[in-house]
Amino acid sequence: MAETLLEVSGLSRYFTVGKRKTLKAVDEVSMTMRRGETLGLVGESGCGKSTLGRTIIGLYEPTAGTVRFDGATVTAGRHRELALRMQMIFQDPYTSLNPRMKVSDILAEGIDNHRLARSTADRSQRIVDLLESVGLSQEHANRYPHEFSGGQRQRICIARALSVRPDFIIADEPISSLDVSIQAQVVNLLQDLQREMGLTYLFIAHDMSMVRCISDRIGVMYLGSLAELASSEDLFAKPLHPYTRALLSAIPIPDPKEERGRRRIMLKGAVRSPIDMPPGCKFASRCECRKDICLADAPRLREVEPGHFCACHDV
Amino acid sequence: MAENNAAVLSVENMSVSIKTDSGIVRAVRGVSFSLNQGETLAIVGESGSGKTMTCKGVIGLLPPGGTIDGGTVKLNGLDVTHAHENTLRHIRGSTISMIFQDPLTSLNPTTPIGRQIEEMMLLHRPDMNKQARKARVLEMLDLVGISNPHERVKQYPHQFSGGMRQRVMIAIALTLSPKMLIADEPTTALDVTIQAQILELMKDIQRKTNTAIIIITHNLGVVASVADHVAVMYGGRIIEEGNSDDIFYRRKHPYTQGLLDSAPKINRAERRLFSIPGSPPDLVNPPEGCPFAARCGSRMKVCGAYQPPPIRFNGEHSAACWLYDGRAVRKEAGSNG
Repeated sequence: MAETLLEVSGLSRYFTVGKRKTLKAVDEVSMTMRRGETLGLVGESGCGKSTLGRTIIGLYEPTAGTVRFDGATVTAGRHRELALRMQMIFQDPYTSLNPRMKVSDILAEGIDNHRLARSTADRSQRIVDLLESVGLSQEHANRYPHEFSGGQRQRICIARALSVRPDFIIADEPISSLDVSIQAQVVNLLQDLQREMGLTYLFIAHDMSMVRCISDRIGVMYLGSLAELASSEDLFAKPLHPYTRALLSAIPIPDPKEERGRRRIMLKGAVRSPIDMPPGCKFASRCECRKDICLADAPRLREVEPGHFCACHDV
Repeated sequence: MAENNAAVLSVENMSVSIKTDSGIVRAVRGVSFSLNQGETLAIVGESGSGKTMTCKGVIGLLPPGGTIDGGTVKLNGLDVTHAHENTLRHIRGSTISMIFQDPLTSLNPTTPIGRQIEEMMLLHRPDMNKQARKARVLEMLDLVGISNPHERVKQYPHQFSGGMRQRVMIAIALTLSPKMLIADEPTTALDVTIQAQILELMKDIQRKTNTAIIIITHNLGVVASVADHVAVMYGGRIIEEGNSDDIFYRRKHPYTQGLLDSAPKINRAERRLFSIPGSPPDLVNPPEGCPFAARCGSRMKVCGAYQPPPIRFNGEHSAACWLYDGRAVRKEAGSNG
């Protein structure tokens, strides 16, 4: 399990907006992922978690830094083998399936493009296997996406990602558009598939409680940078970064007695614009424990305790 | 929720149908509840359970093709079930207001927000002069925690963040001091730290103004943090209702149980989530018996055939489930033995 599958170092992705203004969507992110683990990536909208995912998989060309996958460097025009081994699942199962294609054709697209099937019989067998692996059945193959519910569509998206037998899946908010009871079904399915196929997941979400269930480790992003990265247990048991602490305390708990006795760390204001940021810590404007150094110097992500990384001057 | 004279809203056996291309959707099938001044009722349920249509029926904002085809809605003792649009227009804003999930599409992008708040008074309060209206606008912005109100009134919705826009929506909804506010998923589109701010604001305003609030949500954490009473909807019916503690600690209905179990707990590590198999019923052809029967682990023969009556446990806590009806349980035991 200790084998490194993915290595991200100093990865940045900037966008130019308006006249010579720079939006630093992802700003010098470094992390590694072991084979077979699930890394949860959380943060509020606009923190760059989706952009990070898309840059890792090569949908965006990085502005700086590198992504190494199983020893090979990933670039936007990456070669065939890497395309097979990394797949992505998107948030909205309504817009990520072609409404004019039958489910069987949606699932076969990857198989056909990469010529994975040995024969027509093998092709249809693969489609049946894929449907069954995500809890659908053979008769669903000839239907169109509009005939399915949201949860079923997300299962089709998962089956499509699995069709080329990848090692690594980036799931970008895969359950956010689903109902609570359906979310649980999809999360359990992802966990079953991981166990059966030895998959590695980068699970991007904003729902901390769901992320806790599925992740081995969790990274917290704020305005393009990793604020904290630790094992699931450590992050929830002793969050170090002031932002992580505020984020955790903002989550409402489905237990009225506990809610009544809770003291929240209320963050003032909203996330600032990531365009033309001043130097210093990105969280400084909302931070309870701000010091002078925070405004002058951006803290680096460092290992505070074994396996527990945090980017804060105060820790 | 016990019927009494102070009820701001009382809904009696209301049904709502919507004509669509694929048939008539029986979106709400006989719901009853009431709400007093200063209280918060949370309506919980999954998409398609009828929670939004219940509230739109109450406020008279059903989509085209939608009608209330049974029961009554009383606001402040006044029957508004089939009230004329003119009457409803007068009631909306002054007696009852609604805010929606997406504040960006609910605000007019071409009008400064000060003007949008003032519009409420232009329509409903001809007695107020310009000065009084401007003063009220500033007062409202202050109430919802928007700093620098003198500057902000001149700005347009796109100059506000998501959380700030929802604050503006709340300001508009409460300008005329309505007795009741309906909030339809008010924080679903917001980030958690902003959600915490908005929920805190709603509680704070309720303490100051004694407004009755109905909050529609699927987030059980939000329910636990704001609700006095909870109604759980499924398949167009209220399947369980009670005070917050009844629902969270003494729930009776298997669906409520499943819903609470499938929500991940932030304060407890668990790798495997409970999930309810199957999916909700199609309300074009609603099931004859209990709407949850097809997915229920404790299903009995009677469940598929007859709709269970609400069974009262204590005070206001009731659940519509045959498991708590002695007759059904005896019959099931008899037929098995």
